[in-house]
Amino acid sequence: MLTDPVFLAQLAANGVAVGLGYALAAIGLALVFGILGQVNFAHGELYMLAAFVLFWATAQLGLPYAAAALLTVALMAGAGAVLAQVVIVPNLDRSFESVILGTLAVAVILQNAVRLTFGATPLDIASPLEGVTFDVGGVLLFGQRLLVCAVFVVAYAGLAALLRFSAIGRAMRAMSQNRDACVMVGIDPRSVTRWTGALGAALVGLAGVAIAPLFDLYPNMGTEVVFKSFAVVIIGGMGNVAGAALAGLVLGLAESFAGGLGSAVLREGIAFTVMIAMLLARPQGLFGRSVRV
Amino acid sequence: MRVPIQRLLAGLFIASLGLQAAAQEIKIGLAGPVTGPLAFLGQHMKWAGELATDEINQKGGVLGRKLVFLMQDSACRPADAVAAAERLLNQDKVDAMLGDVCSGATIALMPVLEKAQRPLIVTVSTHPDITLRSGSGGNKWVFRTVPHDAMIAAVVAKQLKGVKTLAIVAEDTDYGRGAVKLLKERLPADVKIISEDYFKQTETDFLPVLTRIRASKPDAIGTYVLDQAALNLMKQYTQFGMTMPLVGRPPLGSGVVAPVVSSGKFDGSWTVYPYYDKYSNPQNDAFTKPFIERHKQGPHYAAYGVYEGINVLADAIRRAGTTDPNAVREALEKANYAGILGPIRFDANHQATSNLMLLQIDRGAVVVKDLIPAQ
Repeated sequence: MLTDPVFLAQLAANGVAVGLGYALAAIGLALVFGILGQVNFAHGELYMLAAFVLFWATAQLGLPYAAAALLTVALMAGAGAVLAQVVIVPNLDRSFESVILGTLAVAVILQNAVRLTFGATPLDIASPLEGVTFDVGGVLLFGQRLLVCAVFVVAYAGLAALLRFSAIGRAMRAMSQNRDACVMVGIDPRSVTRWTGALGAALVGLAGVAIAPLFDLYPNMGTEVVFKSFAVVIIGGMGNVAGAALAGLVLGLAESFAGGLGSAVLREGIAFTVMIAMLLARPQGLFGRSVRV
Repeated sequence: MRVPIQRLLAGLFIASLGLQAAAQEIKIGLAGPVTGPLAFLGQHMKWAGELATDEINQKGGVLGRKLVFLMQDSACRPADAVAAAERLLNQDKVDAMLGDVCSGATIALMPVLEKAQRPLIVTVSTHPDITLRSGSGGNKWVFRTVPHDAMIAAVVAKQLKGVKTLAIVAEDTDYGRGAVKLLKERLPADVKIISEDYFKQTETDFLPVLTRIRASKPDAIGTYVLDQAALNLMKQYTQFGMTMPLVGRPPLGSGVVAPVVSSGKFDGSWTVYPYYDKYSNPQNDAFTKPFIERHKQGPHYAAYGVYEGINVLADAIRRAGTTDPNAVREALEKANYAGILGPIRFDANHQATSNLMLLQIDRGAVVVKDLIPAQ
């Protein structure tokens, strides 16, 4: 069985699908860290919020999945801008702990607000792709997971283009290099912060709408995502979006083979083992540059 | 400042009225998960506690006194459960308590209640150690109304006759690992376990293990996970087009997995559970009907446990004629309460023996195949 090519190909296909999901969930976190140098501890709760907004839009407003997904991403961008304005902008000149505590508070508030609004009963989102399975030479590919991969590719390309070619993208990159210089050439750091918050939340919103129909929804679901995302961002190099993408993919594949060839318990430890090894061997991460003293 | 003596006396009088009213209430406390990944079960427990106390109070309360149900958050963690119990016992002065969902948390509560000398009714947790340490096992304040995992494992092992190869998928907790260990000790000799996989309680991704099980083709998958993990597992199982039945203790009767069960892709799967909300008899209908009216969903096993637990306590207090803890404890030892699934009586270890349900999926519907006495 262990040398059966179909079995190994299935593990690889699972790994790619899951890994690109990790990458998609983590790039928003990497972006906010890369541009603003701030750690968003409410990242997982933004993912959870996106999933519940999608549930509300599909099950309660009755919108089709695609329309509900677009609405959710737009609302999440707005929520991200508000979060940046309320928590990050007032703390721009304070030390980084202020934002960590602020976003942690937002995480607790969001978790309990969703629990009180939607209740604690697990919910399920129906997606038109749920029952779709493709059989490619014995290897099964699942519709919703293929969508996650496609969303990742589009989101990644869109983000790269935005950062490279748009005025706001240039301003973001400028801010990641030198905030004081930004002020001198007339870039408002508060405005860039709001845009970055909106973009980061829209990205995690995209992850939420693509991935949520695969699993059940509950108010604590973000906790899982935030830990995995942190591991991905650290392995990839703090704040490096390309590194996070690659790290997500590698982690998904490693977990799939560890779980498939070994056992589920073995799979569980992979993310943090790789993270610790990375911190010991190459603290700047896969793509990070070493800090010059 | 001088306070007129009349006003002082009036104030004292009003304060003593408040004290009297408080003393007249009978308080039952519960430490359970209001937050955290098992908040869903805590919510059901709260709903059941409120329903049971409302019903009892509508009929005039217990000993003419009003019954009050108080819940504190434990997040299903031992340390938080102890903190919740201390608060219920010392601040709210509860007369008795109900145990948590997670066995680890319930086991942590046991010495706390022993020290406070208040009865603890375990209504959800199924770890066998709770029984071993109760009654003649040492802690005379702890009683359990539901069957424990060793009793369940004996029934599961018997049902596994004819199964040659079994793959185990279980949660990586005291419950999951403990239940599998108990099953192995009782397994018929011709049943072979070909793989064992343990997942964290909040696991969502079962693809690697399902890929392996799909290739290793066991006769059945022994499943020991709770509702939410089961939903994710079963969704991924159907995507793979797998057909081997889920057996052991998958939560097939839970409302959470009802949408996947009704797909008909789990026909032949079976489970042994202490409760199923759609099992119809007059007692259960009387419980589920008002519950569904209030909350638009059937009661979970955890809700059933709390509902029975409060009624067992109310019955004991009535027979004791007082809330004196020792008298209530002695009344509990002599309990013969007409429960939803049969009489609840406690043995020397304060363990109730009641019926277990064998549930099987037949054409997308959950069928109660058998009521089996738990021993």
